[in-house]
Amino acid sequence: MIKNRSLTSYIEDDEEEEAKKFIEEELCFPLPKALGKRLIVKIYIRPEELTTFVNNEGKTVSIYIPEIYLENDKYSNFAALVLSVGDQCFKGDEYKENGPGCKVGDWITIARNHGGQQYFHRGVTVQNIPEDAIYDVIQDPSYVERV
Amino acid sequence: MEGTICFGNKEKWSFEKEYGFNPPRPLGARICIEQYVKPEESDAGIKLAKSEMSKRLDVADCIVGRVVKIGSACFKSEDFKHWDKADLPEVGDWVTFKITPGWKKYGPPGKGVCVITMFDDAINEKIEDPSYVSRDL
Repeated sequence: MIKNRSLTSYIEDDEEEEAKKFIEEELCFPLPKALGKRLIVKIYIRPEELTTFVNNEGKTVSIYIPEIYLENDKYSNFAALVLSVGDQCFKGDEYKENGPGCKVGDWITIARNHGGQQYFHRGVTVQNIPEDAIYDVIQDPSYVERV
Repeated sequence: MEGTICFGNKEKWSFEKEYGFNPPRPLGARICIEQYVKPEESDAGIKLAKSEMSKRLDVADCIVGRVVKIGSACFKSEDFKHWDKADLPEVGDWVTFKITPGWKKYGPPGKGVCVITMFDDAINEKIEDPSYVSRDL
């Protein structure tokens, strides 16, 4: 039987270790460790290849997003992947019924101007954010677009 | 989503059923709301063409929406202690709220829905029909 002690997380309890391992393998380095009531998240950057299709002449055509737009994602995207959750996170009354708001491997949306600090960690754009900077947990980061 | 009155059959409405994908799951005392889009056709059948700019202004000015998902700690603080339980919004209810920044399009490409996640204290009231309310500057 699938168990999830969180109402909002998409990561089941037995998938937590697997998710950590998978991310570490993808990033090729051990995950950083967040402290206290803070989390470390990786900002979502769209894949370079936007779409691929076959044209009238039967050739496969790929459309790529220009690098400058992808660079901009680092400073404007508010979807992020949870890399580390501090040990004091989600212990308040607010989360009594919910359980942990999110787990490592969840995609979340964050407030970009809420006490977070952005930096490169081994070349990857990450933010160290307080727990209350999280708005919600989402299914897919490509679903979100700023209006 | 264009407005349909939900009172009475609100338990039948769910974001997943309506759009075929999961809504954002708000944390703590936050609530996720979908923008109310005014119908583009009047009762008399006149189509009101809207520019992209006008649609964007509609989002920025929006004060009416439908409750999509409610965080587990919503409406449990002291502020709501004296509220009648029947007045508290549930998923599917139309509500009015304070002007809040942070609108986002959420959904697979081409199927995005305008939603916003805000704190529960930004909600003003539950309403019967979203078309009854418009912002008066």
